Amino acid sequence: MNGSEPISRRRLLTGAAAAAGGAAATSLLGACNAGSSGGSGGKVTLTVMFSAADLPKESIADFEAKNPGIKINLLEFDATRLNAMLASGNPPDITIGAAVGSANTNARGLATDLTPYLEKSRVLRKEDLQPVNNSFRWDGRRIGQGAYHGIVKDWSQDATLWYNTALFDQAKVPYLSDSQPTDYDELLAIAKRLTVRQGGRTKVFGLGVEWAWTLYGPIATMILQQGAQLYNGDLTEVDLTTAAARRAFGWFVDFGRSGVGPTSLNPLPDGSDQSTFSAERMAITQDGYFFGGNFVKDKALSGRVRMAPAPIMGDKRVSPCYSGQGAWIPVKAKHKDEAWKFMEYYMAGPPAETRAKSGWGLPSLKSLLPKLPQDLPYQKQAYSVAQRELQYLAPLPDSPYITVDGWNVTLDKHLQRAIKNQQSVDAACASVTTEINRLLKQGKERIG
Amino acid sequence: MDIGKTRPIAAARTATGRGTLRGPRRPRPGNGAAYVLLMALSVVFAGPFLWLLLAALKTREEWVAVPGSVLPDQVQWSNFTQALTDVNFAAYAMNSLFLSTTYAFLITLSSAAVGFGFARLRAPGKRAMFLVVLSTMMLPQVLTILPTYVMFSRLGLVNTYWPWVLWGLAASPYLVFLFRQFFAAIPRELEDAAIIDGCGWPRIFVRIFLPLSRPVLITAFLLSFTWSWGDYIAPALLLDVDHTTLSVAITSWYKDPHGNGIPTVQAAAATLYIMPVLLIFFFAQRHFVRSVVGSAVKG
Repeated sequence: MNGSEPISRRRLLTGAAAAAGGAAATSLLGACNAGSSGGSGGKVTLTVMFSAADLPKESIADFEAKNPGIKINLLEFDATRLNAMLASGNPPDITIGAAVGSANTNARGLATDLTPYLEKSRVLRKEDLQPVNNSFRWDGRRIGQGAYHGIVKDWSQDATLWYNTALFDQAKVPYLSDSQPTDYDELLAIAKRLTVRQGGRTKVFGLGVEWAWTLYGPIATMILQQGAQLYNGDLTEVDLTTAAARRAFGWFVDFGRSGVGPTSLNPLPDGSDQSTFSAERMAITQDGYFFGGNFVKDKALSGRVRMAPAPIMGDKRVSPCYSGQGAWIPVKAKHKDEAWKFMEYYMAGPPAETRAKSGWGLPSLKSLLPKLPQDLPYQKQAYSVAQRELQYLAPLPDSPYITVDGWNVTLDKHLQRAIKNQQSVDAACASVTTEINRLLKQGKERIG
Repeated sequence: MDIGKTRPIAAARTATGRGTLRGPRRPRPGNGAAYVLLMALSVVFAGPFLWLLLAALKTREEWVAVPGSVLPDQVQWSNFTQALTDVNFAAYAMNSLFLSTTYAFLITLSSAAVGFGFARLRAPGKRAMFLVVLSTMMLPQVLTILPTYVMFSRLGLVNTYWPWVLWGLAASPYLVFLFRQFFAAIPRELEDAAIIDGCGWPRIFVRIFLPLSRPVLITAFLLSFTWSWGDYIAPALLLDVDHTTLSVAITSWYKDPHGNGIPTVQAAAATLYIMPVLLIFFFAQRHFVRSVVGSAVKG
């Protein structure tokens, strides 16, 4: 172009449009890279897949300040994404998972053996771990012994009860004992007395069992409490046609038919007991110690709630943990040492102390137990109940060949049919046995 | 208006008992029932949104109360405040907006180009290719989730917005079909004249076909924007917490410390979340209806 040639209006507009387009494309390309976890100035980028609600930004900033060579890239936990990441051979460096049910993950060889790290650590010590962590142990055949493959973040004695004293007073029902467990049949009878119906609808539920959360936990516990076993020796078969299993299953059928509490046939709008219990529309909920965290800000309700021991079916007291959320490091993680540093910080550092003080669950470390809140009367009462229940903790059986979800879906399906009188309890237990054994066989064939 | 021309037609219509073209309409016996049916359908379609809005204005206790009340006892605007402050709502909304706009813009253009090819160009196997493209509509998205993740992971594109750019450039079978049907109905004389004037196919596409297809362009943009705006799976799989979208934030983060959702705050956030899409549809519905109806009858 001749330098002295005047620029035409069309050419000017074309040039301007091209420049604007170029700028837009450049910024688009830049924006597209915004989330890239590429190099960050020589720092190690630690990919942490947690629930963001469990890992506030303040904790991330504190950890990064204390570990200047590590930058955290937080991914929201999503089971599908975790499976995709594991399948692609590019897993997160550390992720969350439940201790109960970890046998499946461990048998598939997905989790790193943390024992060498624990033996060297001055922060997380084996002798300080609560026994609930044993559900993360795996010796190649069963849980409870062998190497640690995860550390529990916090946990609850999930079969313990919370109840509303005002609703007990209205129904003229004596309060539950702080130290002695209530028999399950008696509990159902109490729930019937506490249930209030109005105009064909239930105004107050007598008892909630968090049906939507787990059925495997309470039914396995009931079987243990009767001194029976759910699985055979090598965890490849179950038998729910035993008297103990039929009694446990039958209790849930009676519960469903009585209408004293929500089930999958009559679910709550938000799926958990919390809103309904807080609205004083549920007299008892089987929800564990953590549930007390809900009442701290509700001054009125906190004066009307009490915790009670896990109910019992049989002679053996068992107060189990149904889940025990914790963290584990995938075998193919790229930054295991940094992930362990994060594990130490999260499980024994300031976040662990904050969690313990909040009362949202029991701490995973014995040394943190005294930090549990005892300022309010209900917190003191719950603390003493929880302390007494510790001695009755027993791990739930966990076969590597089936997931807890597999159990829950099968149990729910046959409980629904039995509640609707479409099959007897005996027939339902036989069907559950057949279907679970089929799943176990498939799992065994996959894992070997 | 040429009245002289319309009168005979009106007279003819009156004579055949079918009413006039412009005269006052006589109520037909079926109209009342049709209006009742339409009103009932309106309630059915608007009901969930109204329910969501009312839930957003209640306390958590009112939400589960029995007997429940339709209207909140005391309107809880605080649910909206909490929805905006508990998570960085504005930042996630911007992420959603950026992602949806980029994706919708690219996929509209790429689908138009592919649709143009299928409608107006000649090539061996074109019909078979078109059937292959259409058959991919039958493939459920859930089947491709894991392979897609693995592919993007190996390309190093996870935690970036590049997958949306690539999806945008890859065209959508449904939109290709929509554009193909629309372009097929445009008179061939237009492109013949352009060819005689020396226009190449790209220029014919850009200068003639795209300007004529405004309704279908708007519809395609609207459909793809709405799809991307409402998508949960892809951002949950591919983006980290800082760069994810509003759909993931609303689903995942309005929770108490033990992970139980706070339904009233989620309802408030969801109400805000669907507002932009409702507004866009409200203003663009004329084009949307026109293009869908047009594409259905042409071919």
